[in-house]
Amino acid sequence: MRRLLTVAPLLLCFISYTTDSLFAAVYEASTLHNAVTRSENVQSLFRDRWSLIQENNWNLDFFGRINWVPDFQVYDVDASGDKTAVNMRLIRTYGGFTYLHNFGKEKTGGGMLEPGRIRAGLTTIGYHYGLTRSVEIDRGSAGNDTVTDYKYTQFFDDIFAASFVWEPYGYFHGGVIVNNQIEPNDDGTMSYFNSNGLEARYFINFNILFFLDSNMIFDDGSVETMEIQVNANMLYGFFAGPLHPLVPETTVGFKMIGAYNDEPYDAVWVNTVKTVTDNKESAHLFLYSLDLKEKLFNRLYLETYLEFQSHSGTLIDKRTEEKLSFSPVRTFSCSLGYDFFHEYPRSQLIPKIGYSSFWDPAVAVHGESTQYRAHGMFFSLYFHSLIMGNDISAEFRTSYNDARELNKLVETVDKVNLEVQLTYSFDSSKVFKDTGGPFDKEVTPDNSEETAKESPEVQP
Amino acid sequence: MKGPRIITSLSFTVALCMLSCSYGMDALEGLITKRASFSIEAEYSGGFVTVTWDESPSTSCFAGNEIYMTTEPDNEYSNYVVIAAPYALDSGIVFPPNVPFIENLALSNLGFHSIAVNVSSVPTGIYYFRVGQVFYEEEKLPDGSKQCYTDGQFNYEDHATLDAVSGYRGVAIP
Repeated sequence: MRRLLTVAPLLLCFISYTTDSLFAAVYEASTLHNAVTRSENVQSLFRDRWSLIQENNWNLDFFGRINWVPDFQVYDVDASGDKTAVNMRLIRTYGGFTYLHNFGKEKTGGGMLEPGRIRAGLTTIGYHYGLTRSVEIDRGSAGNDTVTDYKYTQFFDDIFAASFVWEPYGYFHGGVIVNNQIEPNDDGTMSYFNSNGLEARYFINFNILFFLDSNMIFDDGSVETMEIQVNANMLYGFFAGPLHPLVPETTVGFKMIGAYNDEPYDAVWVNTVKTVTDNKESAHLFLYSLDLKEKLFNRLYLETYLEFQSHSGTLIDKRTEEKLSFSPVRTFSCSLGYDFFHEYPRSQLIPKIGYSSFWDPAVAVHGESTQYRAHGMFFSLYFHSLIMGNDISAEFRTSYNDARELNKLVETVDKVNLEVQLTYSFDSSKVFKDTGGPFDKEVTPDNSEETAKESPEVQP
Repeated sequence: MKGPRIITSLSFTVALCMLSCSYGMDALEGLITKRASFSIEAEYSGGFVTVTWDESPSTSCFAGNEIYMTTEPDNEYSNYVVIAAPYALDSGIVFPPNVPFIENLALSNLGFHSIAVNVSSVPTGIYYFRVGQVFYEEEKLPDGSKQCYTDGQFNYEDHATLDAVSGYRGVAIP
């Protein structure tokens, strides 16, 4: 509590920026500066969270995740002027809060297109990236301690969104993505109000009949990222009835990202090699994805993801100054998990392992080899249970060159990732006296099996 | 009756929103990893370095301030060692960096904000200084209530923890 009281003034006060030659020179971590990728990441986090909220019929959701990449080496110039490799820690913290209010009761029968309830909600989701450095303090006979300092630019990306859901016709999310960069003070402290780069982007995400999903991020009035996904099972189910349960859940997608912009942190030039005075050019990355998910015997989880790619313009590798030979396959990943708590209602204990392969020109820049492709794997342990009417989950995940992590931040290539996530989803009827029960389950083609398993436990 | 409930709900929501943004989660991670949270000044003059800080700690269970110094010259990333505290955490000369340990009970006073460290025997170079704020843990009494451990060498060594630490300040020692 005392520490919280210490942090509160830190949130509110302004610490002036000072310069001092007695501190190390700055060697920036490069792709962290790519606000296009970061906006896409925080938006993707928002959508992942929302799909869980919809799937579980939550009204109030609160989650936090901390990801550490230890031994993140940065070349630094120390006070004596020597350039040395220094081990830092890359930290990525995520937090999210969503409140959804129900208007009207859930539809319990009737035709497929008969209007159901309306839900309106607000969401804040944030993402912080940055490097920190830890130091040991020998306190003599009182023992040892470790403290940390901020190092280099810190990045804060937040989404503030409003949502509108009309069952069964679809939903709409709209909001602002705020990208902020803060330069820490030379002494390792930082003020959240010391911004040196604040930008806003806007996004919309809409879904029609729960099978067609579209997502767009705008910057300066133009579309920066666009994505369309179709859930083939839902589409088929809409016209021809539910598929056999053994048919994997299939999602196909198309994404266009303004990924290459001749920025200093980009691994490629667009069209020609540029000098500082040349005008910047842009090129798009196009991604075509196929995702297959299967849940067998209510306990075995299988997933395969395949992503093809193409691009506009000509891309030139900055290292070789030669035209980039673009691989048609960007990502391949597969995973296998087993639910040891499958016999318990609304509880899960799932260890999962996965393999992935990821291609990006920046892999060669940040990796230990000069290859564009990185092969990796992950292990995760997920626990979920219903405690006093609230859903609580925890996940530990460790990975090395996992495509999911590299796609978020390619600088983590050839480094170990450690991640802890905690989630707490409240029963809003207890907190806000809402009109609808948060754990009332809706029988839809995609969650009917789960509903049958959970219903006896979740009814108030 | 509805008003207070709405205010409570709104306060609860705002608190959750604040914790759920990128800044809230970063602050939480900073608490876990004891991030440097306030700034200090340090200045060399005539064989002494005077360390000054403005940060006033919370009064509850405050045990004292400690001064730390890097053990190696010209190394911003060197480990630190305590060189001054309200109680004797070391005796004699702290080596490295070769400074006499300062045991000064005044460091446990809330209004004490400056101390001079004798660095006349320290090898030449740039050294870095920090200030740590130490608080006593709470002990549970037989009636179930809690109170801070009382002042004293033993409790300070065994039941006081570093709660907040300053950023670092470099000083060139000739």
